Amino acid sequence: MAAPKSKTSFAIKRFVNFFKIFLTNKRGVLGLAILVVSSTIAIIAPLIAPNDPVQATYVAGDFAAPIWLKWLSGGQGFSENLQLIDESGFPTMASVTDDWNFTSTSENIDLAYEQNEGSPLSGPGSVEILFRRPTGKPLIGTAEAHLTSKEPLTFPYESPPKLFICNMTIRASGVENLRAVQVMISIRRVENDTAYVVWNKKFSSSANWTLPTISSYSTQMRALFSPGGFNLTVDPAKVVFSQPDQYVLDLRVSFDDSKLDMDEKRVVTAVFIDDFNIKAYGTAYGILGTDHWGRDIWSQMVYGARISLFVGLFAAFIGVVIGLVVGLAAGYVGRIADEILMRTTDILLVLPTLPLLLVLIAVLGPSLTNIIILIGFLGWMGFARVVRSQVLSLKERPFIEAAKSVGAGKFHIITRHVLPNVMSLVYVSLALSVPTAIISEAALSFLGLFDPTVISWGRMLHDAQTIEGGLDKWWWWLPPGVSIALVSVSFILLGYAIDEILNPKLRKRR
Amino acid sequence: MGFKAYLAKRVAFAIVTVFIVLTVNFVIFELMPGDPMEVFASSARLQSLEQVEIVREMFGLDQPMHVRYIRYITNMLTGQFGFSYHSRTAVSEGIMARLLNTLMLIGISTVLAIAIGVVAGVIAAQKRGGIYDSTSVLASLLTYSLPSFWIGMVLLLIFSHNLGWFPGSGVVPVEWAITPPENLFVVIAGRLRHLFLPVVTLVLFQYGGFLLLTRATMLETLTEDYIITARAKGLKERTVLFKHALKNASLPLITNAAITFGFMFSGAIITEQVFTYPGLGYWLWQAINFNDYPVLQTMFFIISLCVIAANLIADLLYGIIDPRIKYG
Repeated sequence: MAAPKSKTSFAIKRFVNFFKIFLTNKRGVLGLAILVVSSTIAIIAPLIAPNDPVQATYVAGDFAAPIWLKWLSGGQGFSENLQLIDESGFPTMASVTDDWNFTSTSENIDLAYEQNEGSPLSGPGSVEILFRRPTGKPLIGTAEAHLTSKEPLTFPYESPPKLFICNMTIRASGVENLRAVQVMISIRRVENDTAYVVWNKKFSSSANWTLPTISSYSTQMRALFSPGGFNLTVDPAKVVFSQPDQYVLDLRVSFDDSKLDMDEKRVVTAVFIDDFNIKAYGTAYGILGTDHWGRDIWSQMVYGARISLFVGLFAAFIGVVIGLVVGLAAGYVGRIADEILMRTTDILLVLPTLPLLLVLIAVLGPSLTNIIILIGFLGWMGFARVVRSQVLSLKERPFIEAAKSVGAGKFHIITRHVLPNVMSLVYVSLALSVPTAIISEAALSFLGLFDPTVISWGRMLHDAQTIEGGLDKWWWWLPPGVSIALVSVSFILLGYAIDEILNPKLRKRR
Repeated sequence: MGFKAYLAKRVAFAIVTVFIVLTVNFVIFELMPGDPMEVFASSARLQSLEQVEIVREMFGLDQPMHVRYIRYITNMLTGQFGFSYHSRTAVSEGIMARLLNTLMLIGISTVLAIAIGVVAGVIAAQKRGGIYDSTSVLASLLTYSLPSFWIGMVLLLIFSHNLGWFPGSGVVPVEWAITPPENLFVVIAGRLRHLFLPVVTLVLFQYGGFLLLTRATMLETLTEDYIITARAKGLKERTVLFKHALKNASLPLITNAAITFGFMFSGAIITEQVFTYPGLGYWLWQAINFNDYPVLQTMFFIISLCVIAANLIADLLYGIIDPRIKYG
């Protein structure tokens, strides 16, 4: 037995030697290069992917095009994400008065700053518009207040955004019947001086903090934009932002004061506003655009590399280990074990893999673990045969005879003498099984049997193919297909190169 | 071992395999989590436990496993595949309605893939080392590695969506449902137009294997002495290549052809989905989405049956074509 140190140095030397020969193999180097690039991308995925691939919906408008498509088309026809109003939390009174003009039709209305209260989202601090009537006599009518943005908002793009969403938290207090409060948000276009009402709500009773849906996709807003409120195909985003222009935002609060109280009590009605944001979602975003839920396709591509390599390597590993064990057992133990194992192998080889996988995964559930295990368990038969035939020929070699004659046991001979001699086949088979596993996973995902918690390249192809209008978005599905092919080819090239170096004799025979 | 013994052995193996497939099929659905009665009881709105028991008896679910197993095998072998959960019609009817579509797709694709692959492979072998050789080898490696569904999508986008040359779905024009054409040529032309893109996809997916295999066996054959003799005789190069060399190199091709035919079913599942081509593969895909287990089970059985048959035929052809082979 050599000392462990010299053993390691021998292993290193052998590997260096192998690597030197490997570098002379052009195709092998090409395969290795592709593999290094793709695994680097897979490893540093969180660094180069700007968004969560599955959870982060609406990072831009849905079906957004890649940003470079805009340059190709000369800047026409696309808009990008644009934060029109960004008032998160209203931290101080100054944050209100700096950005907003306050006007009102009645001296009873005041703008105040509420320090202690705010939306649950951003904590204390909110704008308060309150109506106070000290005299006790009702107005019998309404009084209005306006919060208007000081700086005009610029929308610079030739093309309208995909949608715009206004986020606002609002609370109304002291409201009762005939003392209702109406809140209306409108966007006024400077050039043609048209005001578009995007939200209009009447509070007939007090309400705690709420976050209303103010989206140009909502039927409520569409109804506001269509004559009579019936034509819900109108797209508010296209109406409001039809061309580059400047806009003024207007928040109108009108207080109704028509209730005749017998006791003529003092009335205080207030509206609290917090977290006021308006964002236009672009029709162009990122390196590869967005999918049907506005998720970043580039991030999906990057994380997809992880999934493909993970599935490919693990499934191949499982398959190779099973194949190795079966092949060694069948080849070396022989007789009945050989007969049973090889007939099983033959039968499994005949079964059509994809349909069997489909049925099994449809029944057992499409989790990533199931997919990996099943692909592995159905991918060992070819390799088992190769190992068996190699073992059969090794069995007759003199060095095995010698080991037997000095009284070595079966287990010892298999692990110490046979196994090292089939390892070169293991490396090759490992490399060549990965593409099969990757393509199998992609095919399963494409047919709808994907793990819902992750987005693989195959699932991207599935989404693009099944979602209406997805096929025209070629930037969505061309890259994953090419990536599957590239990674597969890299493993095939790598496998062939290793095969040429490690099994020069076998190679010629094939 | 003589040819008859060999034949018997292969047939026996095929029969055993069919039983294994049936058993696998039975076991998979036996292992399925959940009681089938629960699902049925909720969907059929059974009111009482007695009703559940009656239905359980009706379906034979109260019987022990081995009785159900035997009953299942006899049913499958006699073509009683049960009823689709989704369409509530007999599975065997569904198969009959779609079998022709799929066989046409697979048959034409296999024939074309073999023809193109073999001819291209022969030429590549003859011009070994040249530009034609290296490009065709590279191209076949590429089309082999690209996912077939991706190729299908590319074809669909270019030739159906953008150029509008070929329809993107179905087997016959939609308007034929109302006014079926009378002219036979119109019928054939209509079908071929719908078959074109799926066939191209499947051919691209499969021809590479044939090209590489033909090239490899031809390279070996072309070094034989009788080829030199044939050339020395002054035979035309085409005759030498296709009559003398290819004939002797065709043995592995024939086995591969039979296996490919079985393999095409897997390709058809994907291709039919891409082109919404109403064949068995598309049905299988629908069955996955609807959790239509009787259809899934039957489809797996039918596809396995086709593959087993194809393999058996390959084995037999092998024996018939090359009498020199020793069986064993």
